[in-house]
Amino acid sequence: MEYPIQVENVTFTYLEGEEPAITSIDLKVKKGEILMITGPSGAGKTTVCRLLNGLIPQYFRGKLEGKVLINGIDTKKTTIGHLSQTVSLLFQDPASQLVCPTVMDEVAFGPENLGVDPAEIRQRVDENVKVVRLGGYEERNPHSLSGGEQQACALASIIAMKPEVYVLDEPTSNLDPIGSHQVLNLLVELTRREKKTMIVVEHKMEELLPLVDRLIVMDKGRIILEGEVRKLLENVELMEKLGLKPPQVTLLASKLKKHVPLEKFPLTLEEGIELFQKVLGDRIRVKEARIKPEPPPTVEKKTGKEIIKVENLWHVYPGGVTALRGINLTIHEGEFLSVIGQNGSGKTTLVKHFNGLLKPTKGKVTVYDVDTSRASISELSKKVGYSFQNPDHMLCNETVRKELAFGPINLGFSKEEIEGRVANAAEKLGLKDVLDEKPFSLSKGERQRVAIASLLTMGPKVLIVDEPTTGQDYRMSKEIMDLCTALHKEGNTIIVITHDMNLAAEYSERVVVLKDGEILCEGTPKEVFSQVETLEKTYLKPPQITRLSQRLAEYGIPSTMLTVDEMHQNMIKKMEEE
Amino acid sequence: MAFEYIPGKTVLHRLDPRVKLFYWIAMIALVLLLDTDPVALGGVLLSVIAIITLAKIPFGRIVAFIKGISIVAVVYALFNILFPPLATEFVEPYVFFYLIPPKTLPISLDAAVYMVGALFRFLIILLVIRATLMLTPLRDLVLALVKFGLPPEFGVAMSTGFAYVPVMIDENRKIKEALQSRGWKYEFRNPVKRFDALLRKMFIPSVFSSMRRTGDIAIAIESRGFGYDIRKRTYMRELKFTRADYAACGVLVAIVAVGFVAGPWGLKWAYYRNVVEVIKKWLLRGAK
Repeated sequence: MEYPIQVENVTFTYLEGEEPAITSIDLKVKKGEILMITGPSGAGKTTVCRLLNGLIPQYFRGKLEGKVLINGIDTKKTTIGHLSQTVSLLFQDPASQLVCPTVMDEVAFGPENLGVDPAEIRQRVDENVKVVRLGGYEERNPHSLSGGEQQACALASIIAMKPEVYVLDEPTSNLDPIGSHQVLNLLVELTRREKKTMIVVEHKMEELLPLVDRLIVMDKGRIILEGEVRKLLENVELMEKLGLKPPQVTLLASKLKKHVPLEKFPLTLEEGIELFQKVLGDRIRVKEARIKPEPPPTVEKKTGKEIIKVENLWHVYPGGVTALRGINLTIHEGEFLSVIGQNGSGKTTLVKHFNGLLKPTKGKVTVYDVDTSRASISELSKKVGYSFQNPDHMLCNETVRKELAFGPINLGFSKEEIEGRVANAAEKLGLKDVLDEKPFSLSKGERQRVAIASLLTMGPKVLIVDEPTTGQDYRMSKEIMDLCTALHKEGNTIIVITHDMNLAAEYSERVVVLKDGEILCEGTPKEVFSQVETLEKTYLKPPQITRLSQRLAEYGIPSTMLTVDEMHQNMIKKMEEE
Repeated sequence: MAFEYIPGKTVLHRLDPRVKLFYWIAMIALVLLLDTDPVALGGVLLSVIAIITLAKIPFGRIVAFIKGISIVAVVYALFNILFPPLATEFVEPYVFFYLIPPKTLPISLDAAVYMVGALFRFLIILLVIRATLMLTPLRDLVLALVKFGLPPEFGVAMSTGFAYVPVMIDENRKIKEALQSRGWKYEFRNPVKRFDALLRKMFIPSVFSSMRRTGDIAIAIESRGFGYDIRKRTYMRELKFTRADYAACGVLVAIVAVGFVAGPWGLKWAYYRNVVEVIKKWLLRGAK
């Protein structure tokens, strides 16, 4: 058996770290194998990736014990440049790995470095630009492409180096659902076709698990589970506890197993449908009347005060791109609203009108009875807090305390008032112990909380959170959503932009779906996610569990279940009734 | 954007980037050789405009560019007419009037002619650079520099830097918007206050984001084999001198040679004093 990658009992401590980032890692990857590594943030996954192309120990210094052999060559005894012929790395953030002025040059960059003959390079560029479906974009600046296209470009640029092994570090975590679907499928297809070896670090288990051979789960720098995907499925509840997000059908099976004997655990929606139809079919007589799916229950509409009113809103950017086309939307006091849609559908453009960062090209936006085109951003910021996707764009002070005080100082509050607000927000968001720390020295989760706290001190009634879950693991995403829920319970209106359908389904009271600058549909999560065909138009899919419930309607399961727990309880209830 | 390439298929677009770099050098040499003779420099300026027309660069872009530099050009012209660097050379200048009577800050014919020449010089150099950049993708210019002996490391650093300009602009816009969303104001009338507000608050996040990005870029470049063996590095785009390139170089050499012969170091045909004398004669014609 050929093993292009062998990691033997490796422990690594970064120069600036006290604890080892990874401990006693043993890993052998067969030629042609697709291996998935998952685990919560800080588990050491990225460190493992860096070991494999020599970034550790050549670029990141520290104490390396054990041995890493790439095609039998010790990474300590060679250079990153030489290893790059064998192992290629693709990183999480597409923007920071694109280094050339055009797509064509980007793809050529690697082979040029390796001294490949120019004619051959041109051929590889032509070929691979097509493979990743960027034909026609050769002369574009890679940074002007969408997130999914950028990652496709980065992908083409490593394929063109013709490595034996692809190492992908969360290649889709910055992408929207369609972008990540495309990238993942492309990768697997390519690896299989060309008989390459692939190691992929991902959080998206639902999409990727059915495609890979082997799974490794890491936690706190160690490998805690390892084996063939199907053999590990029984451990999904442990994975969930670790803050991971196993397929919802698998989770459901694992929960049901305590009540009903199950032969095997499903991995995909199709397997789930088959299994649960059998489970229910054995126990429930299919009633004729149930065959028609129930219409989703109509939930009482919010009738609080109308605080944000959007009337026939159009927005055209200076470059001439029309981002919004005639949006009409009313948001009531105390709502929990999710805005979903692909990149470029106009989500961020829409919410930037709520605090005046953007002004309508045509139409009108009223916030607390104030026409936003006549109000300043700072005036509106007292009412509407807007948390940016990347918290680092918001941090600009030397200490967390100053960070929290920055907004209220700008608004001209008294010193006592500001101190009270800072203490209050710090308490609420668990930042009391880090008030005198530098914001940039905190972890990403903490920085996100500082960013939100720095808005809360301004006392807004409405909080807009822009893609809080992008690039975060499931546990951190849930933490932020739980925080939003807590603020919502205190009477705040919450508006969340997200790509995560499961979170939108689980947390929000109302969902607005945007497509090409228009509202495609809106309503309660149940109403929206029952419109499978409408959602398909913008390549969004309801959560897996919702799709499962829709297929089990004939067994008397109320269709359009939103969470695994809800589905689980309903199935138990149904079976007990019979 | 200052580095905007407008794709096209004219002969000028197809010229080797090294020829275009040579065009810069030749034009700079020429305007220095021709002194500040407004007639000769006017001719050179017309040739630059002819090249812009030949390259089918939309005239609107050039007009917008000239508008953009107009303030600097006016200041430059004023400076030249008020404080001509070669003031001592003006023997018996033909003075129109004095800005501060009786005898301070003269506005003379000599200085006016000199100013027109200097302004033409200024416009020629800026237009040549601007037009060449519109005609040539930046990466080709960088490649030309590398072929001229610039170390490939610098070449990569330069093109990466330029590729990141739009990213950095976007990043800074986001930081500014995030600050504004927290009630921060920077639109002070007082430029000192405005600068202070921008610098102090935008500085920390900008530095942090560029530092992190620089690290990421370094990792990305290393991982793509940059350290493999820089001497063996190849280039997808091969530069080849065609007959047109040789011809263009020949023409440029000839023009510079003519400039040398005609200029004040040669036969003094092109010399701003000649122009001054002609106009002076014409002005004094009635007085005789």
